[in-house]
Amino acid sequence: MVVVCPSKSQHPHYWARAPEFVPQAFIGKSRGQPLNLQQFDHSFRSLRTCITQQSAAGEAESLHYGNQVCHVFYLPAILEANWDLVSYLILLSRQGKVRLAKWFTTLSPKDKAKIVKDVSQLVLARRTRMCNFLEYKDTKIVYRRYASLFFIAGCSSEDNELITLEIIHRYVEQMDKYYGNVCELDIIFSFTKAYYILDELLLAGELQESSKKNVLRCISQQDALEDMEVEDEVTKIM
Amino acid sequence: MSSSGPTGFLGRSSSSNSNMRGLVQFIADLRNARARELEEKRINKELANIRQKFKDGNLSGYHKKKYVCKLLYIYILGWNVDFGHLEAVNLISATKYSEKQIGYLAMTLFLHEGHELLHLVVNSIRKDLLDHNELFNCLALHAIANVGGREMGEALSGEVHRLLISPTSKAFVKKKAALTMLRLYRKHPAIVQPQWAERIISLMDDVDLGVALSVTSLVMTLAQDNFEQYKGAYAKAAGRLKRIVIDGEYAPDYLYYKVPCPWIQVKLLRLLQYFPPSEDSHVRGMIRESLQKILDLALETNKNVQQNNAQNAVLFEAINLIIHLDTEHALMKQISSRLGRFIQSRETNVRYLGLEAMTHLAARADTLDPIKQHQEVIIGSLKDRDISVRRKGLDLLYSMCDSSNARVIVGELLHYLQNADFAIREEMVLKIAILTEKYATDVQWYVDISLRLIAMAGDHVSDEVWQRVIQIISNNEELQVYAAQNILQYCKQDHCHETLVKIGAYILGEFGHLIAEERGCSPIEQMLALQNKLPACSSSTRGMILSCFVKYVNLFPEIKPQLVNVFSVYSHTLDPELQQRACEYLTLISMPTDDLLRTVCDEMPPFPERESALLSRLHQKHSRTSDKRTWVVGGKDANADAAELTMAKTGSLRRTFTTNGHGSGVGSSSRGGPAGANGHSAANDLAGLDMSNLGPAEAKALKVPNLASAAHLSPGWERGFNRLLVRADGVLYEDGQLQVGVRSEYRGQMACLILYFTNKTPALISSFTTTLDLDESEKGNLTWDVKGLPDTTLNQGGQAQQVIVFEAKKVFDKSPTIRISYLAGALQALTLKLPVTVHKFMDPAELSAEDFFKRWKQIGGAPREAQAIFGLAAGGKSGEREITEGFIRAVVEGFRWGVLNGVDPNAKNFVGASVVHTSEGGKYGCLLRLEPNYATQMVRLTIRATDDTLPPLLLKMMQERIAKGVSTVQERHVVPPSVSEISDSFRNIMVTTSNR
Repeated sequence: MVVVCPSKSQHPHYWARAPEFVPQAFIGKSRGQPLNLQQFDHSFRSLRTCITQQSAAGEAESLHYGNQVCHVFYLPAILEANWDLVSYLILLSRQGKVRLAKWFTTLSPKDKAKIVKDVSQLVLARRTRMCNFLEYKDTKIVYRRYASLFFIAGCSSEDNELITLEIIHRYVEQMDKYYGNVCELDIIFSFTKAYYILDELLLAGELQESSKKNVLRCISQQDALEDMEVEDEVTKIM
Repeated sequence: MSSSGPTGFLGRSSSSNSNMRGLVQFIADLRNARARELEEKRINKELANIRQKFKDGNLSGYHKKKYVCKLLYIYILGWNVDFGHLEAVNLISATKYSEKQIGYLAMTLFLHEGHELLHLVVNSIRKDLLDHNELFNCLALHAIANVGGREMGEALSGEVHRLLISPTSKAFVKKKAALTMLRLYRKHPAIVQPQWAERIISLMDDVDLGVALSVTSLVMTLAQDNFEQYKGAYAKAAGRLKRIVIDGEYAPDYLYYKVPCPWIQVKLLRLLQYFPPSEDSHVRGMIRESLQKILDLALETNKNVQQNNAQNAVLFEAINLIIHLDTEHALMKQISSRLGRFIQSRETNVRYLGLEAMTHLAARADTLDPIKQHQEVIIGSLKDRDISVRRKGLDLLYSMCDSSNARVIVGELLHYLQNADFAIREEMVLKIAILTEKYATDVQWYVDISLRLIAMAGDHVSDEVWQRVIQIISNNEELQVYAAQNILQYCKQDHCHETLVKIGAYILGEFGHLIAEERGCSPIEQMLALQNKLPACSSSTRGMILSCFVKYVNLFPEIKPQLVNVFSVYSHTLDPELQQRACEYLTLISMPTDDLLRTVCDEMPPFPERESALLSRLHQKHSRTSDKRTWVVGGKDANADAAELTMAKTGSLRRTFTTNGHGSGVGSSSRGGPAGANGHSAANDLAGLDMSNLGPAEAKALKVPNLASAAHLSPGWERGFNRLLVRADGVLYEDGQLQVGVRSEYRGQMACLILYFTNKTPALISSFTTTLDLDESEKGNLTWDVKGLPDTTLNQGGQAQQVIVFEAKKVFDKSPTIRISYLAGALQALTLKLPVTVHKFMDPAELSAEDFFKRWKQIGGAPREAQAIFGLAAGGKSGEREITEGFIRAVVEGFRWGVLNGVDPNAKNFVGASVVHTSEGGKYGCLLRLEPNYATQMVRLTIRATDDTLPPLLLKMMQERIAKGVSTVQERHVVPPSVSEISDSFRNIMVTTSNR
């Protein structure tokens, strides 16, 4: 028997307990009649060949279910990228240098490097007045150029492109408000702050706050706490 | 000033890094290193330095922080940093916020969810989650949201949940907790427990829009997997959307360029698409109103880019929802004309999105006519200078194609294919091939287009395409001659793509004899055409040609010498596969009799089971997505075909085709056949296999109880319910926090119920939610329509009301239930049974004694009669309760019987008549005879009705009621509330919303 797991969260590791794995639970009941295992096995025969041919990237695993062996295939981790509204955000200079990169999905360093390389190439080649959206593999790239920096967000192909574009803009505005007329150098020299602001704006790839004031309040609370600590330090030395 | 250069930064005090001169200097140094080698040199020097410092140990918190920052910068530049992770992680347990913050940042950048160092920090993170300083909570939540995996989730989800629901959590902590929970759920769905659902949904009403936004994101993901548990979110989303769009309920800070929080609008609109359209006219009304407002607002164009984008983002999501609802014809009309303008817009983004939305429309709309009006423009978009737009145009053309415009569209696509980008050629070829097959109306057209397609696209033709062409030709006799002629012409040309040679080798080998008599198609000419191609072809193609030649030996014995010649040449070739083939064929044809040859080279049978790998190949290229897709690129039939939808959703299912009758793929007999007919077998093969429903979530959903159902009634529900069985108005339920009152009015088969909810707590209650439920078996018998939802917040002493209109379609047994939940500090919830029973739909009838007995006899005994003899129910101490004449009269009248006086010879007996109204079952006459014996406190009750199901139902309810008896103690006698009392308790709110 073969079960294909479309996403990482349905990877066997994530199932409650593998020995209790019940294939029926994976067969939708939408059509009324549940399949028996024999049928199930039959309908998957072609599937198995298809998957084994399809990619060596798909990993396989065998689970024992009663006296049957269940082969479980799950598709490569990169697919997981589609889970999030925003799966990554990259700030790229016109020379192709990464100024900030935030990944909202777990990817191997190799996959990350590949995405950065591909996406940089695609985006740097775009001309002005083209649209802000691009298709890359099965994902969508939403990007926008601000002076010397490209802000690039990778998201799922079903996502609302314009709203993602405005997330980018909100981030830029937020930094502008904090730094006062933000420029690439601000981000280079206080990259930690740029990350902190991003954390207040986006979490798990989703926008958490669209009020500029609220975000700024959080950041200034952090700053106040830091300043206090610095003062403490100074008084201690004195 | 900041743009003037690095010097500007040194003076800035609030920037955290400016406190670290060493770091600033280091960054400046790297910026000055113009060549990569210089940069590398500087970095290596620094790395060595830091390594040494860490080795020596004894660093102060400040120094640790500084070095970790340097490592971070090096890492961001793309260099490998393979040490210092432990030092970075140690910073997390620092007491100083600034050090802790750097520690957490380093952790989120250096580590990933499977990293072993994470075990070390779980306890520090827990400590920060429990800290009374919210900023520390936030840091910990960020960390989990960035690198949390299953293990961390299992260890910490309890704390995250606590921060999410605790009434003392600040808004900015709550929203982070919601998204952290989302991350953990994605990593391991079992982390979110089913019983949390109601509480999480209630947070969608939070006054803080940031919290509402984050919680909506969470609910969106949860609802996709646990549809049943989260269906309460539908009305919530509709209500919230209306409050934002129509009522303008938001803090001014959430206006984004004059658009009220577009993000939450988009989320809510998207959430509504994950559910089937509501049957509730009130909810539908709210959604319609909001959508109309969004459409109206979008009419005002303006110059500001941001405002335009935000407005359009909401607009396009609204359009998607309208298409999804598929019921709002007025709105539908508006959008199709508007989309027509969008696809001609000057702005590239709008053109792109317009095409995308139109593709969605094509996937769902009943008629493609509104889209076909724009065919010229859409075809023009294939020449757009932006590849993103061209791709969308291609998708749309593919979706809008039907038999009426297939020739034009396929023609245009073929024309465009010559200049198309390499990146989309393969996809185009697939799409053209599918359309050609699907909408072919005549034989020649199919062959012409297919061969032309392959000739043109050459290398971009995937194997599936040419194999499919061969299958179809083999299975359709009427194609064979024409195909053989044409392919021979192609093969005779000097420049003929190898793929065509493959088709040629197969088709001519099988059907070459059919054209052998024609001019220019003689056996030797056929053979020479293929032989000329031999040297230039790849090994697999040569193999096919050799196989074709051995078939020729069988078909055309006259050219055997030439063929033998070819085989003997190839029996010496270096390629082992070809050599073997040639040798075997040589042996085969040199056998003394040609019996074996004839058997081997017999005409191939039609392909019995053919897979059109085309569609699966197409979908495999796309949509490997985990987000729930509500539609696929393709026409309405593609979306109606569950199997194709499934395939598109999972991306990797290959569907098996069976032959459609004679296995014809094209031809007038099977117009539009392939997709539809074959889908049938695919559906069988994959019956019930809906990948989008997979996973542990599914199993979990089964276990989840429906809290609104009768199985979960709250203690104390019965008192009010029983009281209201014989009364139209009164208090249904009351406790220390909430009072629920009911007024009702019955007209025929319709009933109007008004529920009043009064807040008795000394504080505000929020997220007030009601959900109606009815046993599955009664769904067709009793229906309802909610005319309004109660306000979600109730001030102290405040009251909310809800109007529900019921309709009795047939006789029903079980009463509907209502789940009421609200936040008063913690989540409170109760489930009550509504006093809507079948006898409420009765009207008292007047009958003369003669009529009564005539009908009584007409109806006759069982099964249309039910009778019982009973006394007071056991339990109560004897003497405390009794049955009296007044009591019985009250019950009989309360059950809405017309008491007929002087009908029964025995004046003590009660006789009654009534009519039950139902809309589908019609009217039923009911008769009652009740014979009391006050001395023994026993009663005989007989009910006859013109329907079998009614008497036992009515008997059961009346028996329960009478068996309770009435208290003998006068003081405790329940006096029915007077009209003025009811008015008082309802604050003079009159029944005004009734339909009639």
